[in-house]
Amino acid sequence: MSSQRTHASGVKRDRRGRRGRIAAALSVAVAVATVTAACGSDSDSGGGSDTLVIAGWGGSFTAANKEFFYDQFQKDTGIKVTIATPGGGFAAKVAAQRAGNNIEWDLLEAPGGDTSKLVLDGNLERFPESLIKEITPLVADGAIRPGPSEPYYLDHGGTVNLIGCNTKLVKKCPTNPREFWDVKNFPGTRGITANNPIFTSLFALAGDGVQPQQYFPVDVNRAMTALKRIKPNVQVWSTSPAQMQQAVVDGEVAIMQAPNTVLVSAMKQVPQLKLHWDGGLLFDEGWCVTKGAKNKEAAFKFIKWYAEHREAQAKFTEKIYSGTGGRDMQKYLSPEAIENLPINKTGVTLVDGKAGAKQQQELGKALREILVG
Amino acid sequence: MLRMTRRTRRRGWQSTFSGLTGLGLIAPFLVAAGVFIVYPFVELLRTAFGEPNGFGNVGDFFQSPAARRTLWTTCLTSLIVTVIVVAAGAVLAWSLRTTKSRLTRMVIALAVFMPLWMGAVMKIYVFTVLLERFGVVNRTLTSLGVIDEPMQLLRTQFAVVAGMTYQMLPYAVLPLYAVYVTIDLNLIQAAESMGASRVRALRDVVAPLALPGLLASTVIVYVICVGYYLTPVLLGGATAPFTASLIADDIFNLFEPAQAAVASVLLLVVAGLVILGGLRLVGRERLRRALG
Amino acid sequence: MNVRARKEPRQEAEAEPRPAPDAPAESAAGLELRGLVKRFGGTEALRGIDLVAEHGNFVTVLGPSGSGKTTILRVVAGFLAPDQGEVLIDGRDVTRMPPAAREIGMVFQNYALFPHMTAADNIAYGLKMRRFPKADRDRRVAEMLELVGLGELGGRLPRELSGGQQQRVAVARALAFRPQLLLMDEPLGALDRELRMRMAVELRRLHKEAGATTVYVTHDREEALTLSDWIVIMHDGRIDAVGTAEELYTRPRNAFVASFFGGHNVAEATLDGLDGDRARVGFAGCDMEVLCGQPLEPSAGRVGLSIPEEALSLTPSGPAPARLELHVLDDLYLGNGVRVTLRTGEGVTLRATLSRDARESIRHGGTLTAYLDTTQVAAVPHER
Repeated sequence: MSSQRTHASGVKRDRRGRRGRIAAALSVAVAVATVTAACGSDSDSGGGSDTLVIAGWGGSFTAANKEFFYDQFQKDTGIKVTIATPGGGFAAKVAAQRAGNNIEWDLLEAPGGDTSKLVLDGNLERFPESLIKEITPLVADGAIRPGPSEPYYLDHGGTVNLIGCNTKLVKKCPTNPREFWDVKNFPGTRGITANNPIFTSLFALAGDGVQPQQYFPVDVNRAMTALKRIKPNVQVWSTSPAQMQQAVVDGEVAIMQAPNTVLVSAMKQVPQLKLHWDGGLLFDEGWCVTKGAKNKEAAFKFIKWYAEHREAQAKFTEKIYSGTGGRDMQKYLSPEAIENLPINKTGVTLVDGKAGAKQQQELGKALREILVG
Repeated sequence: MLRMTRRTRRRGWQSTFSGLTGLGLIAPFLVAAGVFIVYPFVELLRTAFGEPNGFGNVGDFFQSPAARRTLWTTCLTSLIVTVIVVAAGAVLAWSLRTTKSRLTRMVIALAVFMPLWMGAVMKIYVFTVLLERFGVVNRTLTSLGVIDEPMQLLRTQFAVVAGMTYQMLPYAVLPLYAVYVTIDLNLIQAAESMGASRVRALRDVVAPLALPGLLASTVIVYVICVGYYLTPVLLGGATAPFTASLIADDIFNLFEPAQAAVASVLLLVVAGLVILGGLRLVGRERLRRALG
Repeated sequence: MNVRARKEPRQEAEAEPRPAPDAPAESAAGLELRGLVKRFGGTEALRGIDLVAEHGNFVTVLGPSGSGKTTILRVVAGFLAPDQGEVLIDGRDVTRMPPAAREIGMVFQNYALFPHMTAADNIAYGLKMRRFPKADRDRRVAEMLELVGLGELGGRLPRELSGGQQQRVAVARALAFRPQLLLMDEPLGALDRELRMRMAVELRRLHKEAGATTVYVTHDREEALTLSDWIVIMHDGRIDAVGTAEELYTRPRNAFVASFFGGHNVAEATLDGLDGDRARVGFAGCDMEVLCGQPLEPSAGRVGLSIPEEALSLTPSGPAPARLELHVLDDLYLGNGVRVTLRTGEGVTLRATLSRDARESIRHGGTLTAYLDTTQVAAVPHER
């Protein structure tokens, strides 16, 4: 090495060093370019102006939506429909998307609880006046929720959280939450839906004897104590519709508290499943549009399309026994469907979403302590 | 006649550069590491020790019985899985190394590495089907008359350990096999020729040489295990998740970023301690030699 | 072809045969192999090996790769079980015993030193297995280190030792617990030529001191010549010949021994008649009488002639030189001589090593009159 240094001095002495430095500078430039490209791209997620991105709830519900609404809508309007299944936590995820300035979804199949939270957080687009005028005659009274001054979501029918009982596995079926909590007289493996702490808590309160008028504000202690009492008998605390359905179909659970769409779907494989509506909790949910969505025009177009196509709504209901938002749907439905819908059913309570949303976080933490602690 | 259009190099090509040039050349890695590793980590620490209680967030974490119990479950179950996986892996890797039968080698390799080619959900679902109340295991045992009532196999720690062991086995077999390959099998014969039984030879010769591999496997498997998320929930039930589930819950459902960050940092600390412990046991000298 | 040989050890090296601890009689052979057969899949690696080595002898098993020499070693050591036959060490039938029970010491080709133990611990290992108390172990290890000339290096790890030093540790390790039988599998192969020759001499010395029966496997002729009492030539799973270096060199039994061991030319000749252990043959236009390597078939018609390179010279030598007219094909200057490639009138190629002065007489493409010393020639069975 040193012998090379004693060689001729000259101007080009450090050629190797120079080449090395050029290469180094180039690589730094490449690095910076790559990183900036990775960070600030806004044209890759979601669709362009002719794609409608829908966040679906999952399971048979979303599948039926696709079969009867999305596919047909795509055919009629030419707007491409993409379905994402984020698997719960809609309100939180939309909040996160808005904070990161990257709204992924245009239309939401928001489940109960999430709808109210989304309104509370201000993360939904208000329905435009023109749309409201067009669909009001086509939809049931009060279908535009939460109210006429707050048009944020269109009721897409009642999904009720209720008790399903597999008569093949148990002799005596509990017909309401109080009987569900009576494990001595009504033995059997139980399952409780745990993806929304409000509904789980209300179910617990009902099981402890609280009347629907006293549901809110939720007495957290009472609800948690009731849950703790029944915890040893609960096999499955399910968080996704697929898991709920599997638990019933595989016989893991004999008495399941779940949405009626899930239970009706399970009935196909477990015909001995009986539904009990007393104490059922009706979700306050519907189609809504995220604030700042990339393609809110297409989203509102869909809502209009949905309102206009009551025959499609009827076919949907016949398939999965979930109600829809159309006006006078009894005219389009079979008696069998009406029997399995929360139409004219006693004991079903519509849950005050806004009140629930206020206590969602508190109840979520308390529920976690009960389940895991 | 060849025309030399360039002067021949005055200095030979060298693979080392001056410090500054070298720094410039690894700049892409440094930038990437800074952006994707250092910065998020700093943010994580800031979130963990920021609102609402600063360092008191950690106290809040340990106040929650659910959080405490879950962290304990995570560490303990991971330990159980690691011990089983490394022990089984040591034996399997040794068979792989010493067997002359092509069939044996193929069967072991296939059985051990197949999990790597399957999706996570599929692997977990297989165990669900096996361990359900009316699943394969229970039905077989009932029909054979071994049990009268179906056993509670799913949503137990046993199911979680089984599922995780199945998935983690390749991560132990691979490093162990790599170390075994460097062990000259003649050494065993040399020991035997001097009066050692086969077992004694393995103990005196193979085990000390394989020790770095065993440690490496243990560390790798344990650190991956503590980060597990899906398997414990689906096979262990909602009542005994791993800490990662709580973190997700905190972020998506409970809007508690600080608690999520604290839990993340705690997991990192656990993993870090295990890695440091492993390094310590292997010894700096051996590590330097291994890294060349 | 079964070979049985009982030979006295080389005259200049008379090691005191040490009695085995529980040998049935003083006269039990150090190592005896009876009818060993070993098959791997479809091929026969050993086709029936019979051998007797006296106690304290140094036997070299010499053969090309694939001849079965390593297989023999592994069977004797106990790492392979033979399909047929017995192995007896000092009269004990050890065929079914595990290696640990056979009281053997083994030196491997790549030494197989335990890399995580010091040289001293390596040497002590066999003693540890035999439950020597620590004080005795340490003493013996020190003895062995002195013996192999590594007195101060006991605390070193194998990777801190040179190739030659490692080799010596391997030998010390094998001898430490005084085995009845020492087996060595081409232990000098990894060393350079200088070192190899020196180590070979060292091994000879160690063998004298230790006095164990030694079986040394190699493919290198020179090693065999330097080391052994007597040499076993292996070819294709069989023992082709057993003898001292001199016997094998001057009177090879067959073409393989002649060419592989002696490095001689082997040429075809006609068999005119037999006369006791001599044969009358015709070759390159000459009639000559030569020694037989082994008893020949009179009706054979054709035989092979083992012709050493140094048997040809430009001046007549020996009592009955044969005169040959040869074409020169090539020559190679060796410093202390010239190696010439020649061709007979019948087209047989011969190599000859001539003295330095022969250089002037050699011309490429020219002819040469050379004289064959027929006392150095042997007749062997003809092989295609």
